[in-house]
Amino acid sequence: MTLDYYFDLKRFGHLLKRESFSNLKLFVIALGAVSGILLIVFLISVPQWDNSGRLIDTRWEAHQYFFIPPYIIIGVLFTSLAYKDLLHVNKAYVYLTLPVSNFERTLSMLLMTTVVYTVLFVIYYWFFSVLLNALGMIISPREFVFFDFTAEPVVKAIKLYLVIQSIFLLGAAAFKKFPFLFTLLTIFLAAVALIIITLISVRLIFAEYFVSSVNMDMDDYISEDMENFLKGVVKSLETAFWYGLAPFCWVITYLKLKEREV
Amino acid sequence: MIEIKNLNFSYSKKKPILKNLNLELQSGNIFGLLGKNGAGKSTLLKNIAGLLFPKQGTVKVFGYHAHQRLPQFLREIYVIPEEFNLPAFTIKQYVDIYSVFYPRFSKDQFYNSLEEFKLDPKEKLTALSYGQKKKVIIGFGLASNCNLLLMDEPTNGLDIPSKSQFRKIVASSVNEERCFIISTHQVKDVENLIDPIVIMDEGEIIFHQTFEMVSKKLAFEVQQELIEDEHVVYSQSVLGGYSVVTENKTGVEGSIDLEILFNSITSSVDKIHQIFKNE
Repeated sequence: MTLDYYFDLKRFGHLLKRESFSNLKLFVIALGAVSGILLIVFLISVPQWDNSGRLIDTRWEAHQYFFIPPYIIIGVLFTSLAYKDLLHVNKAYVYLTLPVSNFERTLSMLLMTTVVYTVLFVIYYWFFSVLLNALGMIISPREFVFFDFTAEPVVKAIKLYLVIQSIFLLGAAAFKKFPFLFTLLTIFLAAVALIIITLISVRLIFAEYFVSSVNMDMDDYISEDMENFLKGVVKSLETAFWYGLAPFCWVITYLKLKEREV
Repeated sequence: MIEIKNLNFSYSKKKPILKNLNLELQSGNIFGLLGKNGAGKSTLLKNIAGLLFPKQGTVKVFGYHAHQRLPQFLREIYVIPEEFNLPAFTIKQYVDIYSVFYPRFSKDQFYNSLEEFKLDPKEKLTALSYGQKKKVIIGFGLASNCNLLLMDEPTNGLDIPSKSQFRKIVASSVNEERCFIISTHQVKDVENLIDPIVIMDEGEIIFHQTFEMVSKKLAFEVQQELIEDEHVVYSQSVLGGYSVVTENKTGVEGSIDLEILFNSITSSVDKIHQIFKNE
């Protein structure tokens, strides 16, 4: 087996072109819907009056918070439809017999739903925010701050999205119907299972600290070693979430695509 | 070229679809894969294309295991399914986007096919009728110059003139390097096009012979009255008498009625096997 069994730059470029064409309409429709909703929210929230009935003129700098919900919601919806061709048997045959590797299929949609989506959405929002600002200056005396995509909440949201999207990308490759809803349901069930397992584990491991069937009193008993251990566990879980979950889901996405049949 | 060994496939454990199937197909032919509904033709094609994975056995195409779906394998095959959904592109956009994946794709050949089928490249695929869409993907498949073209009921949805155009285009596209497999139960549509004939029944290959061998071994005639004869393999009532298949004892090669051949094989498979075993 040679490298081009898995990856060929020219072939990958053709696949990216195909994916861009196939998803462009969906992306534009989603942006249109988002623009409409944001415009309504903006028009409702910007003009505010004080007690004397005068329009207030404080600075309006909420773009970073306007950006986050649509960015994440549209992103996970878009990601859930990453392998939409596989949802329909009459389209799946084209997608699965397209002369590209399974690695390229995974990588192309990974790039489309992370880097390409984020860059396009940031560009879109920057231009849209300029329009909103201009509109805001017409309807109110407030000063409008430009959207800053390097602001801390925006960067944190992008980081969070990159982790969340990996779960939805896996859902897109794994579920044969309604990938968005089934991924949400799976996340919910996994969370419930995790909570139950954690509660049972804690109840068994720390049985001596329980003062009733559900209440714990650890203040007097917990040792420094135990505290450090618990802090270590929390830190490890945090690290696993931020740096481990996404690569894990991407690898499973690749394996799911590899074993996908029509 | 295509080497299938002990292929077993089922969608559920209870009902096997393909049973210990062995088949070897060489290039330079247009194979007719015939069988009744539910015989397993489409499932076999999907296994060859790597769209379904064998439960047991192997499917090798050009030396590649089909289920691995390696790009080097995929660029040599093109599937024309019975049912399909095409994207909302114009024909030209579709060709520009998809043709680049096939190294020997000939745009001239594709546009010639379109001309033959009287289709305009500027037309949107979603605005075309089922038959017109089928013509586009048939033209695309032939112009891809893939060495293996799998067609599942390709004449479904084509009008009468288009069926003859289809036969003409397909016949002119095959060469020593290429292999076409046409799966159909509409045997009349592919008469004079396919050779050899592969017939499936209940998940098994029950017949695999060339036309030359069939005409050497079997004789097809219409009799006004049915004469009971030990050499009669099969007979069916037709307008003006009986269509009869007998063992060819004269050695003179006659014409073949594909529909009657199909019926005779599916109803008298043991007799047919016996005849073909005899030297």
